[in-house]
Amino acid sequence: MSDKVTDLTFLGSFTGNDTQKIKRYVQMFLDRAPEQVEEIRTSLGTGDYAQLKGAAHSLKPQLTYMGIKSMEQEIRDIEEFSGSGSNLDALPPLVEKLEVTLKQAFIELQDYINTH
Amino acid sequence: MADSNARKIFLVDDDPMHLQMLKDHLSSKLNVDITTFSTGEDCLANLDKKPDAIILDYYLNSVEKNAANGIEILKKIKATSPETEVVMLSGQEKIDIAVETMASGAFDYVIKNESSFLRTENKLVNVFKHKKLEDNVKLYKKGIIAMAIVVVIVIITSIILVQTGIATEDPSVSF
Repeated sequence: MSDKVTDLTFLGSFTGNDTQKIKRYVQMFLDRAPEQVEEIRTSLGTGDYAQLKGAAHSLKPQLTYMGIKSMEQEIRDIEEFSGSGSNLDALPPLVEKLEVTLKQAFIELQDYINTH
Repeated sequence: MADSNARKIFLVDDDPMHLQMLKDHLSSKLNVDITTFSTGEDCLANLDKKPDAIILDYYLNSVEKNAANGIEILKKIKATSPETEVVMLSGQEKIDIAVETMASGAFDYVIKNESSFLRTENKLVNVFKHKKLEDNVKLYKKGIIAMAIVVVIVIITSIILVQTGIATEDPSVSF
């Protein structure tokens, strides 16, 4: 059983298994997502929940396209809790889980680019 | 490849990946001439190019924090160019946001997810059908007016000819 956190099945289907296009989209994700994760961490630290909500909202569809299904509920919860101001205590562990998972995702996706 | 009959489309999204994916999808499926913008302000500055439709993201300030959001841009588009149809895009699944965008003049609303590319394509097809119907109605109205003018001219000309007796001067009808 694979321990991978990413699944490029959707991108394969979307591009007709065009490796160059897949690599292009993956590279666009790698260019932007680390900054968005950093923004999520920073805004949580400063208590800027509006910014946290915006960053989570922006990151959400990208996680879907990269097949990071294990984080779909977490990113929704981060957006929902930071937007509503409810369950704020749940945010730090959610953000930590997101960071750990995406760190793994970035490695996997960079590996895809390097090997295709 | 877009040709001279291609419909002009603007895509507005501050997410470069989604913007590129949507552009790639639509240009491979429809005869469209696509221009992309990362802010609503840039889109507004180009409205004089008269796009047939605009695909507009709801959140436009994840990169430019002071950028106007999609609803503000939507209202300005409809005020400046009411004939341009706008399809709103958002990662928000809440019904109240969909209602807000429709009430502000959007043609339709698409949630950003794996099916959003196909759904956006379908919404655009609906926009084009709607615009074609509108164009046909305008054409029929013009045709009816033109026909009415011709009939009036023929009647007036006939009356004038009869009154001046020119018609009876035709040898073929004289006794």
